[in-house]
Amino acid sequence: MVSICNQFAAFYQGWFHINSSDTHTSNPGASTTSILPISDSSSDSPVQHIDSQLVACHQCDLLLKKSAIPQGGVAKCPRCASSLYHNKKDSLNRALALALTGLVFFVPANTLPILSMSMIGREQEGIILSGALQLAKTGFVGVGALVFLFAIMIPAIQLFLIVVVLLCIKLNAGLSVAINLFKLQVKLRPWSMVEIYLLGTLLTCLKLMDDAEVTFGSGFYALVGLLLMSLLSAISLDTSQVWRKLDRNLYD
Amino acid sequence: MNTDVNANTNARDQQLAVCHLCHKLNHHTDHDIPKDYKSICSRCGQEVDYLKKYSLQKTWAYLIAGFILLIPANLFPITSVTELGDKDADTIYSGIVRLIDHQFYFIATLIFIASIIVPVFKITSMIYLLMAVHFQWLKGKRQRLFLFRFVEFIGRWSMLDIFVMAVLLAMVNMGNIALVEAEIGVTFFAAVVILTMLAAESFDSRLIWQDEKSAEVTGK
Repeated sequence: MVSICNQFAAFYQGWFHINSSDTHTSNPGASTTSILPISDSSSDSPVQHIDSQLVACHQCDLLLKKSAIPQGGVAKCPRCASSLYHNKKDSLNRALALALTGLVFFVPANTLPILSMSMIGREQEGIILSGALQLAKTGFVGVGALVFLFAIMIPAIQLFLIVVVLLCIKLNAGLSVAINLFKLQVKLRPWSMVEIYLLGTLLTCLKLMDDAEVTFGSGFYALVGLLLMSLLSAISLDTSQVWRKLDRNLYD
Repeated sequence: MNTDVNANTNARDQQLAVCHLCHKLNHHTDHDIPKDYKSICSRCGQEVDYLKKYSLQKTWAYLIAGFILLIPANLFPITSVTELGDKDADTIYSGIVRLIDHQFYFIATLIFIASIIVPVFKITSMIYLLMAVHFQWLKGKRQRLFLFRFVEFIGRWSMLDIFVMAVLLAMVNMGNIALVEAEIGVTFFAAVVILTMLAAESFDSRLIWQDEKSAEVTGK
């Protein structure tokens, strides 16, 4: 499930480092740790807590020994170079804060006009929902529903789920519910398309600029904020750490 | 980074299966189990197996459906513009030509990439990946995995055209003076995007890396 967020994750990792004024001064570019593949002979030892010692690459199934990585580092599969797990700094707090901010942006992004246009003496404003409604009204209920889901619902649900799951972890309550919610969050990742919607709005604006006066409404800036917050919270969220915290076996 | 691939151990050789959702390692065996038995991840409860169940079948099904719908998506008009009483309908291709005529080169390029190149590239790449699994091509596994990740990444961007249209529809809605409407092609195009995304999602990248001895389970 490679979303745009994952693509940028390694990139922004360094950014957080530069901005956090701690004594930890590892070079973000060099923080990639390759961990060694296990050899067949080592499998004779009894494997009790497999998950605490071993890790398998979810993309190519290579079995590896877990090793500690420096803060801000990422363990990569030596065979296929996909990232196995991260050690992100202060991941849960940052992701929670950013997701909450994103939820705040969500309200103006959906209620204030994204674009406003004046053409031949007539004013017209559009919010995200009006495009979806217009599609549904002209008989394209399915496509309208997709626009509504991908541009509004799923991004909002995702932010909301991050907030709920992280709060559950912080309060150490409702972890079994949180597992199911986080499963949903992971499954929905490829279907959140705020960034594509934003690019679509920009293109429409460029297109209309020729024959009409187009201005960005305040909803547009809120949408940019929402996009930034959901991107940053996805980047700072350490998924493997969340799963570790949610693991039932740890709380038995 | 350049470890000898053949010397490596796959998780399934140790009877371990990694959960494709939460990436936890689980003990798993695929013999001596009752027929209706489901092995689930000890952490998240998702079904675990060495490979996603029916991965190849599902991927082929979504892909073929997507390919078939790509034809009406490109033949039928997706939008129509009414300006001062004149109604013009555009397919994806003629819409791009119209953008070039109006000298919107930047928009035309982006729409061309998102609506024509990406779906075609996606479908051909997925067919190539599936062929490589079926015929067990051994070379270029790493490159194929990168290709798969790229396909997964770009797939969503095909929605661009539909979002542009949704915004246009909301903005240009002035009765007979200027009116943008959706046409039937947009339903097909949306279906193509969804189906190809589902195809990429149901494809298990571990299929790329399996070797001959585990290949017989592929048809499972």
